[in-house]
Amino acid sequence: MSSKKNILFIQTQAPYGDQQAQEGLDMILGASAFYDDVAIIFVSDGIWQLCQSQAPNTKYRKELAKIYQSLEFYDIDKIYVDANSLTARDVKPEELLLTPKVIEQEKFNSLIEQYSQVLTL
Amino acid sequence: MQQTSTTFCILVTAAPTSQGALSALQFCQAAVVKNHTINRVFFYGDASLIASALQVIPQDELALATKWCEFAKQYNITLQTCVATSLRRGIVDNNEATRHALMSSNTLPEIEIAGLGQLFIAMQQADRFLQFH
Repeated sequence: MSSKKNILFIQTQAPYGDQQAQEGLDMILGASAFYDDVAIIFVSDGIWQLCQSQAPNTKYRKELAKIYQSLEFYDIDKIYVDANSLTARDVKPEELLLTPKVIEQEKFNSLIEQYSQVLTL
Repeated sequence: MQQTSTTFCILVTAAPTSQGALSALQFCQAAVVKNHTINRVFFYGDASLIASALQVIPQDELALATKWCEFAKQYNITLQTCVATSLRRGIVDNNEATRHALMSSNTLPEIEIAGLGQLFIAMQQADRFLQFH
């Protein structure tokens, strides 16, 4: 059933505080093989995952930014970011990777409604 | 009045020690009592720790893993834990112990180790997908 073949991932965690962001990303990449339509919205501290200036010591942690930059090869190009989360952290959209579409609070619900399955990590 | 039955696919991402993990079990128990179907319960991330057979829960506390196993047996529900998030946390079945030359395995027999593909297939076959986080 094609109506089930779309999924929205909500990424809420900072990239390097724990494994959640990375394990969320693993799930997103896995889902791309099963769903025609995969979208991601970054909310709350999740917006830091798209920070252009992240520079983890790769001796200790995988650099998530590099993996995010490979999303286009998985045909994942619907990338959204929550406007309030940006304002609260004084981050501008142009400081983020993947040129995400900024979604205002009132459009957030209608975005979720467009997706038959929603997963938060 | 005819009651409609819904097929649920359940994803648990909440650690076994959290309320989310308990809510997942309670939801599943309530759903089967109402004649709904659960096509899969999949544990991902910290939730994978539920699969350890080496948990020792004090007698006056709820042994959540034991409850999941009893529930799975009674209603013939498939419980699976993600291979990647399990191995990362030291949750290993016999196959994985052999493959990675580990000294032992430690999974509960009722919870099988599976790839993420198994989850996505179950999600697409279900009427509803629910996550407990």
